Amino acid sequence: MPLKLLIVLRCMAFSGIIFLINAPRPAHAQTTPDPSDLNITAIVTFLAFVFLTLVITWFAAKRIKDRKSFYVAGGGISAWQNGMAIAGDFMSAATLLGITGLMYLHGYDPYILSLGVVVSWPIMMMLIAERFRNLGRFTLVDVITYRLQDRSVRILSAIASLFVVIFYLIGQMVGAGKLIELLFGIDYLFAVSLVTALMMCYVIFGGMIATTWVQIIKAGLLLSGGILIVILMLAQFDFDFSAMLAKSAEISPHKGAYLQPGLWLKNDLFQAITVGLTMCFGIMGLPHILMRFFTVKDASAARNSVSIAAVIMAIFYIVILILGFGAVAIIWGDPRFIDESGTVVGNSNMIALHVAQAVGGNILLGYMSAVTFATILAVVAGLTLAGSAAISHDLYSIFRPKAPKEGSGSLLTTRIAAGGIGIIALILGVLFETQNIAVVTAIALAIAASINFPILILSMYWQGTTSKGYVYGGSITLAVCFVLIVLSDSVWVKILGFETALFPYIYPTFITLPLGFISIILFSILDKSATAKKEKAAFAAQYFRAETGYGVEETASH
Amino acid sequence: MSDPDLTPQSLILSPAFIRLTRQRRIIVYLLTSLLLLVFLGNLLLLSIWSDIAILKIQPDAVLNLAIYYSVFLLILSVICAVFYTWYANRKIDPLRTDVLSTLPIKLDES
Repeated sequence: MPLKLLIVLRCMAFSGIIFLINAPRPAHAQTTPDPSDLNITAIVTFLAFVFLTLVITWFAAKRIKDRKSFYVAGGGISAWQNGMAIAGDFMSAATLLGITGLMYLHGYDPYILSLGVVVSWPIMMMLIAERFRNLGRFTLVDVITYRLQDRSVRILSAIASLFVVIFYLIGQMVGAGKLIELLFGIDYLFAVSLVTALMMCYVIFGGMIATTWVQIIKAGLLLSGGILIVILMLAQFDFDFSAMLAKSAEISPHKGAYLQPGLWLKNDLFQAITVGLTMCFGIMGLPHILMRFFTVKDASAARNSVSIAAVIMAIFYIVILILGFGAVAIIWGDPRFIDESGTVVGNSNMIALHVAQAVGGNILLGYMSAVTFATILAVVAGLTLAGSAAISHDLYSIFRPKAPKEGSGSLLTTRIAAGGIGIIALILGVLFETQNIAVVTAIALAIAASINFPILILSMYWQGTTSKGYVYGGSITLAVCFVLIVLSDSVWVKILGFETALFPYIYPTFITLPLGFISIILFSILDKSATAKKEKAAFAAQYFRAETGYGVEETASH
Repeated sequence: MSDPDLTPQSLILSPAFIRLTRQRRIIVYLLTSLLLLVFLGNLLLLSIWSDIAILKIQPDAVLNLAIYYSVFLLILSVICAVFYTWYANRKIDPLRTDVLSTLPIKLDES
């Protein structure tokens, strides 16, 4: 039996065994395990997903011959497939469970998290997607270093990318472990090990092809499940959305204020702006999302795929709006979901699943639980791929310039890097188990919005950008970003134990994003070196290629 | 490159290329500004314009202006994405093809 097939089957057997030993059951029942709580739907859906995705991985593994097929599926993904995969990247467990839970607790305000993402997509398509596709090959760093070829630029960009990926991955791993522990009663260590094993299998053997298909399948399952829940919810109110909201407002402890702004962001302008900026521009600097533009054949296909993703995500976020607002009307006061003290069983992240159970019984709960697990797997697979690209493509080539760039030698390096990222994610997932995951996610999004986004825009649009400008400006912004996060409530109060935060906002982005732009521009203007002159002179060629795609195929040597 | 006059600098000053970038720039900057302004409006409704956000279209209605505005923003984003894709496929891509049709296979990027 081929080794790859053997490993794929072992992965499946491993996941199946753990899953069957730790029988999935409704969250409220996890303290009193009972064989009658076995949720067959969850087991069947989950195993079907794992089987299907591992078969795809097996087929994908046979098509991987070089780095291009590994990192970007050889540029052979169609626009609609890529659109579904991009949408899948954003239809994460954090979105489905996190935003729904926040809306259940705080009403209207948390919906801004969804709106920031929705607004960012058309802007990303118009400002970034096509130029990005025309200038790069595998990663964000390729695009930044197209003209800014100083070694320090590559190092700083790769480190910033890696920071974003690792912190985002930690957030997903800890969230995954906790969620799976809560959903299925699986021990935390087993849960993160299971996620790591499957994700490494997808990425190491299937590369971008498998990762993309895992996202596509998951996006379809999640969207169909979400739409079904919403239909069943609205059916209870004769499909009258206003009637459902009226009931939510009537029985919520906040009464009429539940549907109004102010419960979460406290009508604070800076809080609203910093959350909005982080979501809108942080998305545009996420390496695993940007990498998806290279999986299609040209800039036109990249544009079409974003358009498809925007439509799919808009549907999904309408589902979130109805689910978030309607949850109170559906489950409030139900002892199956609200304990004696009046708090949600499990925690507020369980709201979407509680609603699924309330309107569709254990069958829909099981289906959505398994799809949530699939969602986490798909997102961490994409992050691991982006992390391995940052190591093996961006960093390794600096320290081992003579390392093979193509062939089995380079593929081995990329696979080792993917395995390394997986192991690091597992270790950090265990170490960060008790930490506040909001911190790590804040770091990831803040770095993406404050470092990656400004340099991406400036390097593509402003002739005056120089290597020194980026390195000095980017380093200062990175440092300020970390300091402000440490001084914020998430670290200063919740981890270090001080009484009040020195920096009172959730994200530092309303300071660090402008700082990123201003400092890079300032240091670039001050840079009068010969390298700076050369880099400015190279802008015309970059501009021409970015706009027309001229010579894109030659990027292979880039 | 065979033609010494054909440099990146000369190409970006060519009428065909200028037409391409102007066409793209107008639509991109217009739609981006529109989206960012409408998004900023949403952030203001969440914070200092909360008195306006709670207004209702009809006296006995449940939905307030903030919720309608959010749905409008959602729909506007989709419309902008779809419209730009249609516009770029119809208007910008042919201009890009025009620019590329005048070029040799390889360009000296010096």
